[in-house]
Amino acid sequence: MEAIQTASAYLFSPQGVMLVVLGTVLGITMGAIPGLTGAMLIALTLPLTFNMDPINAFILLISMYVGSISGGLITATLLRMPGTPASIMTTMDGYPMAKAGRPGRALGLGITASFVGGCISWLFLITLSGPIALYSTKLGPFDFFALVLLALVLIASIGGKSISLAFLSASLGVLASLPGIDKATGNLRMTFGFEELNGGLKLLPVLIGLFAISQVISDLARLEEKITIIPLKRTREMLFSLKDWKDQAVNLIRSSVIGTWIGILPGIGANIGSVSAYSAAKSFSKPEEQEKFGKGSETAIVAAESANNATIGGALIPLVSLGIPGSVVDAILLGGLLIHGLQPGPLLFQQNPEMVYTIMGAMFVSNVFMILFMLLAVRYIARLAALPRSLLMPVILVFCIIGSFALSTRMFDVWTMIFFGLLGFAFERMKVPLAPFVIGFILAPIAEENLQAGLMASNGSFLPLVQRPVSLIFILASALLLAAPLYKKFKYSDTPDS
Amino acid sequence: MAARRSGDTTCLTLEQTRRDVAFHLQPEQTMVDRYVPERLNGRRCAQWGHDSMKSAFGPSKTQSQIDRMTETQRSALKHSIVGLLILFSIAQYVKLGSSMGDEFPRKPIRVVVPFQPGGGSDTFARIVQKAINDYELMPQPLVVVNKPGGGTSIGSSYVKDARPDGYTALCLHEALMVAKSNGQSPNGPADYEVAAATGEFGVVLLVSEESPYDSLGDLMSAAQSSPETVKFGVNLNTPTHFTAIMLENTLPGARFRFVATGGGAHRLAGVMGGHLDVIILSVGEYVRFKQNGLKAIAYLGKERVASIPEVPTGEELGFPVYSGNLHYWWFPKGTDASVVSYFAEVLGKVMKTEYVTQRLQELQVLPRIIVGDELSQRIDDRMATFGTVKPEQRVELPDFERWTVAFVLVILGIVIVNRIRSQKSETDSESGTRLRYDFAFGALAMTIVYVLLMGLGFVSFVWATILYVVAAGLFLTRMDRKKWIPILQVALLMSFGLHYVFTQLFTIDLP
Repeated sequence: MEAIQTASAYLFSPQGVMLVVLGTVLGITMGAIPGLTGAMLIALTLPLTFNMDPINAFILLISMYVGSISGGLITATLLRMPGTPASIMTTMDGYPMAKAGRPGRALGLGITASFVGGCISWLFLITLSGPIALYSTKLGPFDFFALVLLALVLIASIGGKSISLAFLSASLGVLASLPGIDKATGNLRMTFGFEELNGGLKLLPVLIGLFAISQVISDLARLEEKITIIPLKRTREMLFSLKDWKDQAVNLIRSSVIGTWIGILPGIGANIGSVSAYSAAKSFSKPEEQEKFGKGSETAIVAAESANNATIGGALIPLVSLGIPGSVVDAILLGGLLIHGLQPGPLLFQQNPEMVYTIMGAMFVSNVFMILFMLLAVRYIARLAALPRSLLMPVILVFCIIGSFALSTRMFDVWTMIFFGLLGFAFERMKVPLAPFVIGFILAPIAEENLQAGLMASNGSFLPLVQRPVSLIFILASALLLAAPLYKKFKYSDTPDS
Repeated sequence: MAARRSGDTTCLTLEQTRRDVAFHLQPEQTMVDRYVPERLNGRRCAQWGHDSMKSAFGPSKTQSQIDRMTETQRSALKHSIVGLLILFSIAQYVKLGSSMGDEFPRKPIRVVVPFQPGGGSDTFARIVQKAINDYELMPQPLVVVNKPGGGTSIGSSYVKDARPDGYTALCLHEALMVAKSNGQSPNGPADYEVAAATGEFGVVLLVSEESPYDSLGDLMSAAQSSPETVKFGVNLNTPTHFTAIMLENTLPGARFRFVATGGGAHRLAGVMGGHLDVIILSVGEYVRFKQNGLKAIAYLGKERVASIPEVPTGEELGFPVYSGNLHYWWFPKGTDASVVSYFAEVLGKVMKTEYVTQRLQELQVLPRIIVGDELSQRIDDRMATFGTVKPEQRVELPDFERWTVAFVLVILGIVIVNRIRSQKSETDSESGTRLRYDFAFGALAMTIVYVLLMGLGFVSFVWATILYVVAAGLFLTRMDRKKWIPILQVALLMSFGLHYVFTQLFTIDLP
């Protein structure tokens, strides 16, 4: 009780409020700028907090986390560039809706869904952090592999028109994840003697290249056409009506719960949470709504944005209760705790309860501030995108280059980014979907590591995969998910495939 | 203003943009829609309402003059803010250049940590950084740079190839030697000048509290009597793996079943979830996590540690494995000896500061420092020890590369077949406007030249960026003279401004 008082005293002091505002605004802005992500912002800010009080430092960092996951939706909707990886799925429906003349609606849906996602996952964080985190340690490598397999199969249902193209994209993504060190043997593979490739291809340059650079290329090719940055008008339509609440309630809750759960699992971040909720929302929708997915579906935006914000609370659960990071950002936050002389782990609850409650409180307060700020200021943030394109494009390119470079101050990452920019552009021209590539790229190493660890533990036997109840459930679910679209295709094969 | 009242933000923005230009040029002339495609402005504004039309094209003359006055003032204000920002960042840049002294170090020393931020090495390096900067132990600050990847080889290669001027160093523990002796990295101690080894941290062997192995003896005899059944979680080909093999070597016939489990957090989860039988963690990690139902069965050091006096050493139990580790500070080969010893001296002072001793105690790291002959002796000893360890692959694993390549080829085949079959329906719907690939690829070529210039170190970030933004801006606007001033503004803001933000505020290096 005393700890809660201490935490709220910090949080609601003028300084604390200022830090929430600063962190959230910076997070939203960085999140909105393609190529600059929350992970980067937080990693860059961490050294700046060394001289601050640990509690104040964490108020700032958590606010940045909340802001950055939320800000990505602005550019995802208005520019078709996911400001952060977490907003990939928002791009698929937010942009078409904005293009169809309803950018305010698309942003409004995203913003409110983000807020609700944050609140629901926050409830999980404060009530269940202990027990749930304990349960997640019971999952073995085979369970993890089966879970990731399930997520990989899910991409088939979001792949767009052609399942074969989606699988091609995904398998190329898997291929791109292979170079570097094989985690199971510790040996190098597929580096072709090129030493810079020893570290593999990093997610950030690949992502910036695929989504931002390829977009810049096609934008430049259309420089003489009309502006593709979608103007924001009628900001009143951003607010949720009573009908919206009624229509989306189930979707909001389902997506937030999915996001929270995916957030809890170590190593799987906001982007996967968003993908899973998107797929789930699609399969739970009526056929006529399913048709709209990828073309500007309201349900899709709500699912994607509530889930990615819900991963924040989810990912914080293992961080505060076990000292195990649930996402990339949490790994940086874990480092932050250590740097400030705090011992993450169950002892944190006993030794520094005020820190636990600060993290929880900051997440909530920042979430509230986020929705206010986004609703009021989204048009000003969007103005960054309203600059003339002939000026904006070089600026975006410089940001992409610095963003890739600052990751580990290596020029190699910049070249990687440019290469994947060209690849992404080629993909777009050949109508190969990009999202499965990224999903394959992110998930393959997780699947591989877990399968290898499992096989090493079982001495090479695949049997535990179907013997363990948890992994069996996931395997069966993947099989069902794989069969469902094929079944549908057969059943509706009379109707022409548009 | 009318447009504002109607909530019509875009027309307002476009109008403002036009007026920004107007500020620089002849105000009257620019009302013509050259800046913004006519179609957009005309049609959309018309759709959105009369009010905005009025303000944009100004049917009421007095009203529009008043508007323009205030707009011009607003624009002037905006431009003076931009100008101030540019001046401020240029001033910062100049200040940075003039702050260099005559003696070493004349500029900040960059320390490369080949791991992600937040890990043990990163934390340690940043503690040293803070001590040097806070106690002013050097006239210039220390800057920590993370270069993770490739085991540790990305970071170690970077420092090996850096100019040996003393301004680039590597902070890396014995992983450097392990990576060298298993061939994972081409870089070994011989490629560097070593300044010092600091901050000793030991490791412990851990089992779950419910584990059938009550002691190291139990564990070893189980590994001996039924080889390759005891599941040992390690990070393959890193010091943890080598330590485990050295442990096997102390008892003939003892063999563990190695399970690749990555970092400390994953190992911990594995042993807690019952998926692993035994793991290695640093003392600091053990102290932090022991409440989670863990039991230390041995400390792998020469003598017991004060913070966990109840844990016996491996040697006491008859399994003499010593796996103490320190953070070594490496400079590129050929760095001047006086520079290296100067840095060792600074580190000596660092380890004595109150801040460092206190922080290291919290992390269960001993504030030890080894320099000179003792240090080279230690490196030779450790290299010899690691040379005797031969890791091998014990379980046949599926060949992921082959499977992936095969899968890609199969899918590619299907896609190609599908394409051929449905070729007639494949008409390009994207006609209408001609795509300007000369713009796209011209700008891309400029970007590549820009990256090349910085990558090869010909030009620094600031100048390359000015050049690039101006060149690309002029190219994309087709040398439109009206855009020169905004282009220059953007160029200056991007170059000096970002340089200030990254190097001064965030202490991140730019090319």
